[in-house]
Formats: sequence, structure tokens, C-alpha cells
Amino acid sequence: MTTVKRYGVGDTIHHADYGEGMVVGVKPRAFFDILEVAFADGVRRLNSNHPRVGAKPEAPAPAAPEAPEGETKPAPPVEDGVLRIDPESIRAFQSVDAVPREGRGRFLLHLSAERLALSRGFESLLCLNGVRDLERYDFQIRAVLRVLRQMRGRGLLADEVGLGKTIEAGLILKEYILRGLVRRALVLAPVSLLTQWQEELEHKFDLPFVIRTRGEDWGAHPLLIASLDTAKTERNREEIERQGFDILVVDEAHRLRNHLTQGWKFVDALSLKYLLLLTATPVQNDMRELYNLVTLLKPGVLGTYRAFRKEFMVRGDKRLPKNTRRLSALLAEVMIRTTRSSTALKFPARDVRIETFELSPEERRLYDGVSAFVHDVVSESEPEEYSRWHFLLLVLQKEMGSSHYSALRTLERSLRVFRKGTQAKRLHRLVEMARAVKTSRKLEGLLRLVDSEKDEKILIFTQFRRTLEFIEEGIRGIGIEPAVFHGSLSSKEKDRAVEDFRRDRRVLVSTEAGGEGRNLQFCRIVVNYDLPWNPMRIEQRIGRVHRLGQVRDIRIYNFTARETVEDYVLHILHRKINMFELVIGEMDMVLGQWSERESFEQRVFQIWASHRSRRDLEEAFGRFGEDLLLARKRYEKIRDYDKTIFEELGAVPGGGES
Amino acid sequence: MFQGFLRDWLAVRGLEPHVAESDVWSFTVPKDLRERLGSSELTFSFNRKALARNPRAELATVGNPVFDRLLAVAREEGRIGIAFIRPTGAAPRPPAPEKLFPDSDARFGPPIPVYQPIYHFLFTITYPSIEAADEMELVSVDGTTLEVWAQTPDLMELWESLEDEAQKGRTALPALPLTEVVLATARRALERRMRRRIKKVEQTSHQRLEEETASITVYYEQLIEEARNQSRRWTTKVEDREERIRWLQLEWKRRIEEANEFWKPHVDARMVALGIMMQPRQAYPLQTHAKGRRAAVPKGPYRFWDESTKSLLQPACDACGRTGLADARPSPRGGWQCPVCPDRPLEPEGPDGNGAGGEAAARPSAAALTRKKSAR
Repeated sequence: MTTVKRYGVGDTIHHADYGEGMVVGVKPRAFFDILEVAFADGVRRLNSNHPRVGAKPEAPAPAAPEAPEGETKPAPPVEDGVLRIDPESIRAFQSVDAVPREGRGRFLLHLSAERLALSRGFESLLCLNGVRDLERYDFQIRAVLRVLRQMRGRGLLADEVGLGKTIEAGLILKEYILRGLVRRALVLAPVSLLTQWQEELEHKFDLPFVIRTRGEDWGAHPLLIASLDTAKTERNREEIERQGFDILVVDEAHRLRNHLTQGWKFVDALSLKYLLLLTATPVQNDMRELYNLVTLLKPGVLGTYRAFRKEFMVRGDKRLPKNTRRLSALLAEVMIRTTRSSTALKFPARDVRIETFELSPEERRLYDGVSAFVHDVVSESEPEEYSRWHFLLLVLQKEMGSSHYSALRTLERSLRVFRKGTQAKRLHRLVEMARAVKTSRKLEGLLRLVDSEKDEKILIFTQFRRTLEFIEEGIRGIGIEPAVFHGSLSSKEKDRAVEDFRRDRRVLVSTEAGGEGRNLQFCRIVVNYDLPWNPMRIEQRIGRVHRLGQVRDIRIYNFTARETVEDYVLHILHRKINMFELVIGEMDMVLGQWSERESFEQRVFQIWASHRSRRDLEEAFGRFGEDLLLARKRYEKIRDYDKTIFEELGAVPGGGES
Repeated sequence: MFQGFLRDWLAVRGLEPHVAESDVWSFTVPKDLRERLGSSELTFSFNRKALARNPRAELATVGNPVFDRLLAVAREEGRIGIAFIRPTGAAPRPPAPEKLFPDSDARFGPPIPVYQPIYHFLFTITYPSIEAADEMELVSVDGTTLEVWAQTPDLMELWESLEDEAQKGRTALPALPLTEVVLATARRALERRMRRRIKKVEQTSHQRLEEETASITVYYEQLIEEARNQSRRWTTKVEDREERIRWLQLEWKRRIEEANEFWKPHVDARMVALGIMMQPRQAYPLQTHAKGRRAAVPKGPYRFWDESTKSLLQPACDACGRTGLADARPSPRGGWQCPVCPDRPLEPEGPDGNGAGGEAAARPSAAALTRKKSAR
């Protein structure tokens, strides 16, 4: 009589033809079972008593490698068990024929270094010793320890905006890398934040992350930053899967809230040891979004969606949770949510001042001349031709908002592009006009401000290097030696500039380039000498001084000239959507709700270049402002909903709690 | 700790720190290390408060990238150390061969004072699959008897008590290259010591794997069950349902495999240092009668008498590593082997007829030792 071979769901079996598979279903019959087995190439149905089906065979012990003739004898075979003795480390000693004459001192030093290099358990963080320019906050450190110890590297960091999720993620990354648990890491962030991530990871954590720009980068660099949109495309997805990253960090992870999107599917399909999802608003529209994010981290922790819906969602309203105590206990396994109120941190106030200047007659003539030139070229060019001039015109218009000194060089360079015809003639005239400008109302205003704020350190921002030189010269003219900070400086020179500013210079003139990671909280006055057409840039500028650790109220001066692009931009950002009232990090969330294909900057330029009369411009910028206002309201609605949900849930611990 | 390390690091390179304040040291980096350390001048602070006062200083601690580079330099150098036990007081008088080997058929020559290696292998142990601190494990193996020390000393403390130079008139037997049998003994000893810890790692990993597997299984069983029940809905096609179930089953397998991989218990060991401690001993060469000669010629191998314990050491088999051989016989490799141990293939022959490889090649012939002694 034949005995029935019994297998259970989850057992691993071996088939002579299909290889190893896992039993995923069993249908009992009288004399055998029908097994559903998942093999590498698909699911098959098999008879449990089939002679080619058997239990997983024991793996044969690996043979010791043969050493080629004439080489050192092979190291003793390595135990194929739990203990793995690194054969290379033994070989290194085996190949030594005589005792090196290095002396006792070096040997003792070696022993001492080995002892120091041992990693302690996760009860203490190694990474804290290597970070720079970082204020330590208990809630952040506890959050990091919880991710490392309790969540085993898979967690949703859902702190409220401005509490330093990036810092927490950086600390976790650094800790894993220091302990050798992570060798390849990938950070996915929105395009607008890629450089900021790179700068922070490099400067604060000494992690040389590279922004992925080419296809081959996936394999060439172990520490990469890319945008989610780039990573999720089919070609890149395959490449990322092939490279096998140890950890993935997804910033603004609410973009993965929908399980039907390419992004969610892409992250779900990756085999990752560690996964960090960062978002301030994990719930935006309904509870399913939270479920989807948690499922990426630990599938099954909230059961199937049907079970989740039944147990944790109010029937008929998928926005409201029920059984909140049990749900928050489950969420605590994968999620950290620190709120501002729980940290008792005091965030200083912002005092925003708008300094509007009337351009001098020469400056006005030049500004209007350049604007008309830009307008004409945009409206008269064929699309193909326009794409060639586009960047140049954009920069020129922005420079005009910064300083005539900066625009002059671009105008001179433009002569090389527009060599003949009426445009060339106009350019020649504009160059002449720019050369004729002798005074700058904005600079005069700035010098007055520097003079009046005698007891304060002042941080002045501009977008352009030429303007920086112009300001530097002007400030020197009133007998003050400013420190300067720009992208052409080496890392050491940048550190020195910041250090000089901290010690004895009253003024630091800086371009945006490369300063995000450096702490300048000792200063509380920021001057936007020119205004970027990208609110994120403005926010980053302010963020240099208005961040955790700033104890005094800060003052922001926005310089703008009347009836310029910047005047309109400032009107929208300040008066319409009250950008300067937002907490650092919130502007990005607002822009995320502004569902435009083009960037903010493109939209500004498009409006400016395609409308001429003041009335048309006011109307177009007005519409733009309305759109943004709508986006802000949408964001606030999400923020409030998110807040309500987590208030309802009550006890999802933050870094300050356990 | 870190200050001591930096002081030693500077001292071995003959450098002096410039002490700006008690907890802040600066020094000029030697030219050959400038590129590696990224600077020609370095400043280290030993406490955080001093760091705040000296913004250009680096915190001297593990995890600081610059300090870690110093550590890396130190870890690449000085991996092997040799030191000698200096006999204290009057050296004990070694017994005459006839007294020491009264019942032996073989004849042994007069004793020769030598140094013999005792190997201290230092391993670092890491536990990547569970949350546990790294450890160091020292395995000390007597190069002659292959006995493993039951009590392991603190290697740094031990080294501090030893001498750099050998005693005059005493020959140090070559300690390198390491023989396979010594390495195998060290490895076995390490494995024995790690047994209990490995068991714990296995238990922890299995427990976590079970928890995770159970969670994944419940999840996918539920999902598959739900997918099956969808057939009642008129909107779902049978093929779609089947396809979904297949996909879920494959996903289930993938998750289980990932969990298996993630929670696979393992402990990593790396040999990071070797301290060779030279022990004073007396070597008695085995004497053989050369053909056509009447006088006995010392040809080896040796039996050793330990001066500190004043006892004759039992040799170990140089083929299988068995220790405490009372009935050892000379091996073709110039050492001893147990009577039951099958001969391993000989290494290519050396000029003196002994095996040229392994231990035999590393040890000087008895004649050479005798010559040295007479020269003195």
C-alpha cells in the first residue's frame, strides 16, 4: 500500500524538473494531495506522491577550493554553517613568511584600533560621532533608535513638517553604513529636493551620495539619489532591481499612497533589506493610503485591505478610522509620528518686510528695454528657434531682477548669438544702456540697511555670482569686509567663509549654491537681494537660519523693484498665499497640490513673456495666484485631515515616546 | 581611550602633538598620509565642549570620518607582532636526555636553548543577523603541542609584559609561515567556543523568521481566499481571478524567500591580528646513526622541555593535529605524527632529505642548531 506524502502550505519541496518551489495550496484527495507549488517560473499543480516530487534535499558540503600550482596553499575550508570565518582574512596571515619589522608599537596600536573599531549594539549610535553642524534632539535620536531596534530598518517617518525627517533618515543611513549593514543605498526624492538631499548627506553625514544623471549611474555608484519619477520608469526599474540596493529612502512618500500607481508597484516589487518612507502627511484622502504605505513596509501587518476595511474603517466612510486603539498599536510597529506639540520645541517667529524700490530712470529704461526684447523674441520666434534662445532669455530676465551689473555680461554674450539684424541692433543699444547705469537703488537700500542693523549679522542672498561681486564691492565701499559664499569655492573655503561669518564678519553674501547643509542659526537677518522665481529656493534660503536650533525671532527682508517680475512674484507668494507664514517644508506640500505640468519658474516666465500691458500681466498673475491659493487650501485640508486622523488614533508614538 | 590611541598613533610615527588646550591636539600629517587623511594639518578634540570652541577640530571618536581614517591606517599596519618571554632569574637546568627519555628506544642529543612560538590569533566576531555588539575572540595555540589555552589573556596587557628582543644565546625557531595544522587548530577552537553563542543567534533568527513567515502566510492566504471569493461577482472573469491567484502565490513565495534570506542566521569572524609569543624552551634533537658512521648525528625532530613548567612537552601530530602523543614517531615532514595517522603526500624534497614544505621547511635542521651553539 502506498503511503500519502503530506506537505503543508509554506513547505519547500523539490521537483526533479522544475527545481525548488514553495507549496502555496493543498487539496486533499483519497490517496494523494494536489499541491499548488510556486516555482521560479510560475505556479504548477502537482501530485504529492509523484516520484519526481520530494522534500528539499540537503545541500552538499562545499568542497575546499583547489589552489593553483605554485600558489599559497588554500585557507582551511570555511564552515558552511552559521559561523563564517572569512578565508581572505586567514589567507592574509598565511602568506606571510617572516615577521614584519614594524615593531611592537604598531602591533599594540593595531590591537587598540581593532578594539576601538568594534561596533557596539544599537543601544548607542556610532553615527552621532561623525555628524557635523547638527543639533541633537532627543526625539530624533529616539526615533532613529526605534527604527534600528524595533522596526529593524523598515519604518514610516511621519513627523510633522519641520521636525527633521531628513536628519533622522540621514542618521539611520549613516548608522547602517558605519556598521557595514548597508553598502548600497538609494534615496528617492522630488526633483526640487535632490540637491538639498545631496548637500545635507554630504556635509552633515559625510556620505558622498551622487545624483543619478545617466543610465550607467545605477551600477557605478553605491550611494545614489534620484527622483521617484525617474526611478519608476520601466528601464530604470529593471536596473534598480538588478543592482540590489540594501536600503531605499523615499522622501515625500505620500506619492506612494495609491497602490495602483507605477510608483507604489515599483517599490513593492523591490527586494530590500531596509526601507524608509518619509512623509508629513501619510493620510491625504482616505485610510487606504495609510494602509498602502504600511503594506509597503510590512505586508500583512494590517491584514488584507478587506480585513483592514472591516476592522479599522467606519462603514460607509473610508476617511474615518475605528478600533483606533488597536490600529495605533499596529501602526506603532512601523510608524513614527512626532508632533510639534509633543516636542515642546519653540519655533521663533518670522518678521517679513518688503522693501520696494523705485528704479532710477536709467535702470527703468534698461529694465523695460530688456523686457521688451525678451517679449519680442519669444513672440516672434519659431518654436524650434525659441527653444534655442529660451534659456538665455530666461536668465537675462532674471538677472535684470537681480542687478544691471549681472545682466550686462549676459547682454554682451547675447551679441554672440544675435549677430545680425534688428535684434542685434537692439542688443547693442541695451548694452550701451546697461553701461550707462551708474547707480543702483537696491544697492543703496541694502547699504542703508547694513548700516542701520549695526548689532546684527546679516545674511544676504542673491542668485547670481556677478551680483554677489557687485554687492561685495558696495559693502566694502562703506568700510565693511563681508564674507562671501558661492559654488566655486572648495568645501574648505566654504567652511572658512561660514566660520569667518560666525566669528568676526558682520555680513555674509551668498549665492544659493551649496549652502543648505550649513547651520547659520547664529544669524537672524536674511536679505533676499533678488527673488528666485521658485518658492522652494526662497524657502531654502530662509531655512538656513529659521530651523531647529534658532532661538531668536528672525527677520526677512525681500528686496524688489516696482513693476518687475519679482514684484508680481512677491505679490503672489506673500500677499496671496502667505508663503512666509508657512513652516519650512510646507511650501513643497503646497506646490505638490498645484497640479501644473510646468514648473513655477516656467509659469512665471511664460506669463511675463506673453503679456505686455500692465493690466494683462495683473490678470494673468492674478489667475496664477488663484491657482496657488487653491493649492494651499487643498494642502491645508489634507494637513487638517491628517492631523484629525492621528489625533483620533491618539497613541502612535513619536520619537519622544516609546 | 581615544586620547591614548591618538598619542600612540603619533608616537609610532615620531610625531608630537601641538596641545592648544588640554583637550585639543593638532599635528602635522606625514606626507605619505596626507592624501589619505585629506589634510596636511589635523586638529582633534577629545570632548564636545572643546569642539564647539574649535570649529575646525574633529571629534576624536569612532564614527568621525577623519578619526576613522586614522583607525583604518592603524588597522592596516602591525597586524603581526612578535615578542619574547624573558626568563627571569637563573635559568633552570635542563635534565640530561638519558633522564628525560629513560625508556625510549630512540636517542636524543643534548638540549639546546630555543624560543618556540605560541600563537595568539585575534578574531573579530560580528552578528549581522541579530542586534548584538561585535566581539573579539582570542585563540592561543601552542605551536609545538597544539594545545589551546583554556584561559585567554588580554593580549595588550600580555604584550606590555614581554620583551622586544630575544635573550642572547637563545635561538628563536621560525614562527612563520603558519602551518595548516596550527590554523586548523585555531579555527576548531574558535568554532568550539562560539557554539553556545551560535545557538543563541540561531534561536533568535528562527524565532523572528517564524513570526514573519506566519504573518506573511496569513496575509497571502487571506488575499488568495478573497481572490477566490471574487468569483461570485459577475464583474470578475474566471481567467482574471485565476491569474490574480497565481500572481499572489508567486508573490507569497517571493516574500517568504526574502524573509528566509533576511533572517538567515549567521555569524562572521575575521582574523585581524596575530601575536607570536616566543616561549623559552629546551630542544632535544632526535639522533640517528648515519650510514657508515659510528657517531650519532642530531637530525631532528625535537622533543621540547618547557622551562617555566619544567616538564617535557608531548608533541602533536603534524598531519592530523592530534595532541599529547605519547607514542609519536618522526613524520616525513620533520615533525612528529601519531602511529595511526596515514602519511600525507610529501612535499617536494628539500636538500637535506626532509620535506621542504610546511613546518619542516620552516624549522632549521638540528645540525644547524648544533653548529650555531658550537659557534657561540
